[in-house]
Amino acid sequence: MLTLLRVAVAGAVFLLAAVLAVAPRPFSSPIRKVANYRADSREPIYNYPLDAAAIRRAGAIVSSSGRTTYYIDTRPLPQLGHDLIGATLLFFLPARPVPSPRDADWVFQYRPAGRKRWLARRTYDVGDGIRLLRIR
Amino acid sequence: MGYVGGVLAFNLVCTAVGYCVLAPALRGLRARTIATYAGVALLAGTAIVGVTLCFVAPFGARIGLLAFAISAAALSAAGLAAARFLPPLVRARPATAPSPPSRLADAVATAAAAGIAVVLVLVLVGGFRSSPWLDDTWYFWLPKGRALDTVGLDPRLWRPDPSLHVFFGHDYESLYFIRPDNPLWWSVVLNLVMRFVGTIDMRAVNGELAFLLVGFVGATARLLWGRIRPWLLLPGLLLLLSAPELLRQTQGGDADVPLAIYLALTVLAAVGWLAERSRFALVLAFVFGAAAIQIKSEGVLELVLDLAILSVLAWRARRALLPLWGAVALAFATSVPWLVWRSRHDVTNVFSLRNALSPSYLSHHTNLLHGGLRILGDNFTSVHKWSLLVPLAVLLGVVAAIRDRRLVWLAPPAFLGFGYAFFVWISWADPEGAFRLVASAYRYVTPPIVLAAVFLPLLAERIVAPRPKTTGTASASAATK
Repeated sequence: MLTLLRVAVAGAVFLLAAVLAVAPRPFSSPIRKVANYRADSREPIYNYPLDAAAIRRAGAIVSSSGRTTYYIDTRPLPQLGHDLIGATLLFFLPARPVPSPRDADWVFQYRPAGRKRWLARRTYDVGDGIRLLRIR
Repeated sequence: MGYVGGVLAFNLVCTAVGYCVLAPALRGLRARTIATYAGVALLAGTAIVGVTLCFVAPFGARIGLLAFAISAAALSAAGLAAARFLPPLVRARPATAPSPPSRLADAVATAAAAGIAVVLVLVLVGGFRSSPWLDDTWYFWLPKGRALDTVGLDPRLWRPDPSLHVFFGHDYESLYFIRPDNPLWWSVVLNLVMRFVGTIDMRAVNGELAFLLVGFVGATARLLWGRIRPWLLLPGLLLLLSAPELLRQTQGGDADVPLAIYLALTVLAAVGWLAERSRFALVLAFVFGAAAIQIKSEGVLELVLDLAILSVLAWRARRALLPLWGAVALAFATSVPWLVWRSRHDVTNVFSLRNALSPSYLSHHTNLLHGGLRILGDNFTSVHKWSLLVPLAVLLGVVAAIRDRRLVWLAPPAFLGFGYAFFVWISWADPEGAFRLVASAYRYVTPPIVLAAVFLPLLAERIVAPRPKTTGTASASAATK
């Protein structure tokens, strides 16, 4: 039941919260943290600075090809490899990653170290130095 | 619809399913009273739909929108039919709160309620503005759900296979899902949220976590309302929400917060059954317990541990223990298809019981014991992370036990103490314990701390309430009222 006391107390709490929300740091720090004043994008927060838009573009192509397989061709950096596996598992399904290009329908080249030559049936440039090759 | 609308729609559907499933227990109540069960309905609906889908996934079903629609419709129809045709075997017994004895008590309760509203609004706003900071979410929790939707439970993605290791520099990564032993509930829920959103938008993960936390506070308040004075209950819940680590993890995207929520509600419902013999509480213990078991591998172990503690300390109510353990066994049975599938496809648990029980193995890894004691101890006792929840649970538990001369009030400190010992033991027996302690210890402590924290208002009520006349088995009931 609403009473004058309850309205006044609740109003005071809401007012205090509003003041803290617009106050300078450090007073607003807890609210800034919880409300995430610097909003994130829809993308995963990758550990390695991946080109998220390119991965989405490649994912749209590979995932629409059904239960195919793909091979990741990139530089020998553990964090980069880790994040590319996770990102492709997220966006490339139902396609499945394989450890060898011999078993792959697709090669996902993410700024690879060397210039391996692939006999590609079709090539998609999805980002800067990021290509998707249909090899089978 | 946008990602906010998608998450909202998913939660509205789950709430509707929850209300339908709970309809046999809620019939006859006034609409305003039924509305206060929204948190319970949201969590029950999300739990039971997810558990149903986890049950059918090992049989080859694809877990997408169609499976969701069929299971939601079937569960809703079953609930409504039970409400229409079955006798009222299960009834929710909502209690009304007493009038505040003073203006000060009224002001405290009102301020706490307003504070809770402010924090929950911030949690919702922050959830929808943040992408999970923990990479587990996009690395395997959500991809597993996408796999269940697009190809079903394909063993090639779950079974550990050294031929699927690829090297990037000096380190290798696996092309199958890591932690394949974890159950499927959180992956199923995350994928359904994305399907409602219509695209992969990681902010929806934190939006969903925010909804679960709002539902948790609402459900806890509803289940304890009228049994604890509002000027104790509401500040207790606000104290729980004041823990910075809980709010931080609610934006992490991992399964530990859902596990903490469902574990705490299962034990709370178990206490409701033991104290009041409420069949409604027993049903909730089954529903919430099934979800807790299906969220993470350690869920079943934590649940058994916590209920064993409760069973020992509430031994006076032993006649009620058999139905309680029966409900938990039934909840466990819902995970049997998953466990059979895992066994058939050699998806072993990362935790080895053989190591855990081997004195020679353990004696060769005592460094992990020291590390576990220190790292987990630091996380359990960090006031910066968990506010005053742990010290208060210990202090109030001891005071209540001394005051009433009843061991049952030591349950919250026991949840913490045995939870600590349990995770130290698990880490000690884990070949990758050193890595996991550094990477995950801060999350291991979340379920035991949240569980102990939901009992803070109950302990406070016990301490300020008149001392009960403790005679016979009735005392167990009186002690928790």
